[in-house]
Amino acid sequence: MNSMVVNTKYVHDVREIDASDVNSFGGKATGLARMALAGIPVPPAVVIGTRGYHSFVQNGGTVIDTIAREVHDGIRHLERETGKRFASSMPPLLVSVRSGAAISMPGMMDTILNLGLDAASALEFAKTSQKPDFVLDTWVRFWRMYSETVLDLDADDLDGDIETALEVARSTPSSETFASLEAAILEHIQSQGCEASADPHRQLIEVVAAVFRSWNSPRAKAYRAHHKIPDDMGTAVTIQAMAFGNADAHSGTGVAFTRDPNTGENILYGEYLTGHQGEDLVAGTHTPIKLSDASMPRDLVDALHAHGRTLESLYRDAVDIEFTVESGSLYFLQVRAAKRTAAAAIRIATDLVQEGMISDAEGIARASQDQVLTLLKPSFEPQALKSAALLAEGLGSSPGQRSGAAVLDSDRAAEYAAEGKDVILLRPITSPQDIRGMLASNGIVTARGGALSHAAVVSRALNKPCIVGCEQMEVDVDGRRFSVDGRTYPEGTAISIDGATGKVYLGIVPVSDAAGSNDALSHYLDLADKVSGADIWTAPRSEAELLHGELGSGGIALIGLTDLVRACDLLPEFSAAVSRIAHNEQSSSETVISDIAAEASRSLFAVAGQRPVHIRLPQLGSERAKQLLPDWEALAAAQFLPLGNLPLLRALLKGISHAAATYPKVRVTVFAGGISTLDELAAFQREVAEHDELTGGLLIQNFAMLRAVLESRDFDSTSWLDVNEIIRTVHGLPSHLQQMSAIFDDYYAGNLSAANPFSKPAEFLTRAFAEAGQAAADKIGVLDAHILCDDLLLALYRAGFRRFSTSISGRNETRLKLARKERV
Amino acid sequence: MTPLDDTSFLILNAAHLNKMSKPQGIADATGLDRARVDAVLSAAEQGGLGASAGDQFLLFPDGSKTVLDYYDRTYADLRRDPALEAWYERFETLNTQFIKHVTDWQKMEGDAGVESKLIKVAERLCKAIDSLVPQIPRYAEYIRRFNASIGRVDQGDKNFVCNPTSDSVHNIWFEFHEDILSVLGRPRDTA
Repeated sequence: MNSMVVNTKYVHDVREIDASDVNSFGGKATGLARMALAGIPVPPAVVIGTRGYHSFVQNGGTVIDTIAREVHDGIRHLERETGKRFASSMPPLLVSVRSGAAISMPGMMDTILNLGLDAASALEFAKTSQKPDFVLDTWVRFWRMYSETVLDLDADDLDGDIETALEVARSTPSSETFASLEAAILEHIQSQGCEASADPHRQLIEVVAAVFRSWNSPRAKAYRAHHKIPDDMGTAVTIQAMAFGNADAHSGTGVAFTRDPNTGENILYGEYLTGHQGEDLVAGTHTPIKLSDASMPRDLVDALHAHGRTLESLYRDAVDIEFTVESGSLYFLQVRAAKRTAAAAIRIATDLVQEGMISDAEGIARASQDQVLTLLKPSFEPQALKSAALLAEGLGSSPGQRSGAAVLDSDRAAEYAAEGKDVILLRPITSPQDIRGMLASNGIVTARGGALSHAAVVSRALNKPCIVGCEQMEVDVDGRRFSVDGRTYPEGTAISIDGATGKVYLGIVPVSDAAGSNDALSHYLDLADKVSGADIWTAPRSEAELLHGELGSGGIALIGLTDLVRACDLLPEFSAAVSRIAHNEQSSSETVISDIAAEASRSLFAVAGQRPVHIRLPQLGSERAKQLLPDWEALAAAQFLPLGNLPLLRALLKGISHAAATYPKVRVTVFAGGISTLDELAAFQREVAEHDELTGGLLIQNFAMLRAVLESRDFDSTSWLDVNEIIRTVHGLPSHLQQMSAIFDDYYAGNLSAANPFSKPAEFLTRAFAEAGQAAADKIGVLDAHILCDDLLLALYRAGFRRFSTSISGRNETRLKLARKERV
Repeated sequence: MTPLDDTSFLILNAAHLNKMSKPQGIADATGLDRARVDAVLSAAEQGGLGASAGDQFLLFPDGSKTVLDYYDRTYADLRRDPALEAWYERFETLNTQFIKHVTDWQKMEGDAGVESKLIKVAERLCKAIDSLVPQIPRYAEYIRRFNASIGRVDQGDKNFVCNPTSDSVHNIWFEFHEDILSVLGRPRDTA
């Protein structure tokens, strides 16, 4: 390595700077320094430290001669390192110029590439390389970037003004045609009221000045003000030699991933194109070979592999690498944490944890919540999909598999959805007016439009499946019908869409949970449990969930006996018998109730295994009873209190205990809602204690009960905290709105967002929750965690709660959220 | 139907372009004060042009028609101006670039490099819109909204890139696209 001139004040070889001094040299240069120290082959580079920026400011926005001289010395240093010549040919040294502050920020100048050619050197280069097109493209590309970033002009205007001169230079390369092209470029710039020099040395100084100026762009200033970053910190400038993959037969360019970015598998992945530049790889004009191909040069693959390992331990993550081989020398141009699919993110995260490279919590953070949620999305049942009738096919532009009634108008879609119906919005094309309908729908199909469309952008932002350009479909909005291949379907026809494949099916294709069949995802979620330390209980609420639902390793809670009765198709008989008891009509109804409770309980115990089971008893005072019992209004009101109808309570307990007796491994705890004092709880528990198989637990649904528990010295009941119900009652919100979270979300949106008690309850309530978490988290679990606002869930977790119940469909998301909270 | 006056147009046009709009959102988007917005919306409701639904104001098809009539009346001359046609051709190029960048941004999980590209295109659109302000003064509001949202993106609020329920850069762009098409009296074709 040649050493840089010793006494420089402003400009340094990146290999000679202190790699930890980000403040003086910025993130880019110190990153290069770290890579060089680790033996990664990076193209030679020099950096103007932030001291140069301070000089620029002190001298009224000019690059003083000392700095200009040191920059040119730096260029000569790069010439020696590379054996090339700047602003010359045989072969020419071209450089990239980048800004580099300690913290990267918006509004700072981007990269300038290909700096170092003028008409004479470009022509020489064109002749010696025998690639005049490549040289012209390289040169014009520089001018485009220079006009946009240094002069703030529109590069498309430049293209228009130099089109003819460029064509002539292309067809007959000569000193005259190249000089005319250069003149046309400079003339265009003058016509826009700007100045530029054809001399690369002067261009370089102008670019350096532009980087320094961009430190004070309005966006950068606003960013610093917001993040309280001092304005006088300043930026460094990195000037790096460029490598060319099209130099000769021993040159080429490629991309490498240290792990497969699609699957996450731990293998070197990527491609390589011999004798070409990176642009050719991106443009897809030439076909590269895979790094795994037998024809790949062995030593190159070995080098990529070895450096890849080094970089992984440097980044502590999978990386992707842009590299170029110039006349046999390998250079790493860009390295960054690898872009990856959701599936790969999960696999890489769990693998890196297993390899001991990162901690459990870091592993969880390596996949974004959105990525995991994408994988957790329900998908079409494979068997049902096989027999589904394909209706049409468009461009899949936002993944997901959903069904619903095809609705052709956004306002109607919103109305349908408000009635609780599943909707797929089907439009000829979407406009901003459709966003309301898109929000209300399960998915979106448009007849026209390409993959790059507003509809696709909005759908992805909403995380909803979307198919665009479904051109076989004729959508007749006014006639409220659509047709495919001459067959007409009325609005409301059920369709199913696959936003990944672009396929539209006729009818409803049933969906199921995806997590169970994905090993990497299961590992990841297990890791999430380990990180959060949370114990997640869940409750099947339908026959399908009882038979197929993933119950997980926690207990079963809190399952309504009424849900079990409904899952067993016994709800009408049950309601009738309850109604008779409530009217004090027939004592034989008690036997009917016991029998039904027993049968319903058995359906659960049969699938519970060794899991503890927590059952919530039905109550006459509930909203649900009001809906299920036709003559509810006529009932004697005393029965609406928690222990208001003892014959009913006893009949239920008898039935459940009867069923439990035949499943001795199952431990059953029963809960009654609405209890508000310890004496009432004791009375309930005495009733339960009549049955050896059962234990009486406590469902805390009101503030009085919560306080009583907190103040009791010897409280020892297994409990669930119904957080949202306590908030609702404390804040006096109407009960019939209880389940309609969308109404609350709407009400508390915008200016009222800080007032949402479901996110931020009254101060004294928050304190009581925290107290309960600190004092009794071993006894009290948090009910229905999946419906809680994220902020509140986080607060409860931080308070010390570790037992949470969720619905089956909300279980994995809750596991994920709790683990990600821990990381904060 | 009575033709709309300029202020009523501004307010109902905001409701027309954004079916999720709330009175405060309309005030923010138009730069008009809340009392005027409320007055115009309540007059529109009485005239059968729209209705409050929850806290949103929903414009009926008749309301949208009145808004489009205003465009037809006000911009008839401008539609014959070849310079505006040319302006729109250039907008389409920007539009394609912008959607491509937003799409990449979404697919690359908010990649910082892509984000700076998409903001750059939005800034170019602002410059282009600025050249139309002499003919269409209300377009200055789009520039103001873009700058405010770009500021939020710069501060790290990713919702302001393309979230459809906030005044995101993409949302403003989408509304502007619909607006300029209405000025030109063209139907939305693709994208």
